[in-house]
Amino acid sequence: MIVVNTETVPGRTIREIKGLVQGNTVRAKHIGRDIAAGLKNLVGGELRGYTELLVEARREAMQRMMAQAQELGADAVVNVRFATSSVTAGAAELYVYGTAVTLS
Amino acid sequence: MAGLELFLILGIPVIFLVAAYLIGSGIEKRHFQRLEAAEARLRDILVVNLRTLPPGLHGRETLLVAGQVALATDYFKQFVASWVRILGGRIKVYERLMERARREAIVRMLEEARAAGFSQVWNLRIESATLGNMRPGQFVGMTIIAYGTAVR
Repeated sequence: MIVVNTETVPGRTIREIKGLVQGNTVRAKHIGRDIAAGLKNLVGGELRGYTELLVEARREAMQRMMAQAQELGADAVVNVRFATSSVTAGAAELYVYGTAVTLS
Repeated sequence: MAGLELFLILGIPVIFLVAAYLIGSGIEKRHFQRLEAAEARLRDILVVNLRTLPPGLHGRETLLVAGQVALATDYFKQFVASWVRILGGRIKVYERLMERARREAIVRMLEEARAAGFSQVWNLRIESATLGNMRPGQFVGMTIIAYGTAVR
């Protein structure tokens, strides 16, 4: 499954547009990471717990999107975009969406 | 004893502020130095935010690459920001925080591209979100995802 965030795949043309596909996850940290983040808030620095959380969220959301594209019988997902937002304190959502297409 | 209480009530927040300022600016300075070093290493990778791939890239391999980071604010930044919100003006402490987050996310994305053997990244996009809604206008930190299509 080819996944790109450009509108076209280099050197290939789009045969058929299958539709919009998406994946999202909302992940919360466990209390240990939350406490560490609370301390970081005094002096700043990277919130590694949150970064790892969001990286896992991205992988999972992409898997879901590609699974949806697979179900539609597509070869590729183009024009992929991400959106991320804080849902509640300690939880973040990552949303990924794109257009599933078949290539010639 | 009243003097001691007064000293503690005023002194402890001031101590926290000074500690947050000193440690926070140390962290910031070192982060900017690391960013400059990383960007110098990755300078040969082409990065553009053009959406349309030129026709000459026929038959090339692609990979969606992304870099993510979450950075925390600190006690001192929040203190400064609360005053600027009353008096108006630029919140330079937050400007620096966002610049660090953006550059870090882009560096991580380029490192992913480099590790997979790609030398060009097209259609760079950046999305951000603030983390934690403790009180209105306060945030624990901000997160950035920088992503693009790597081509070779």
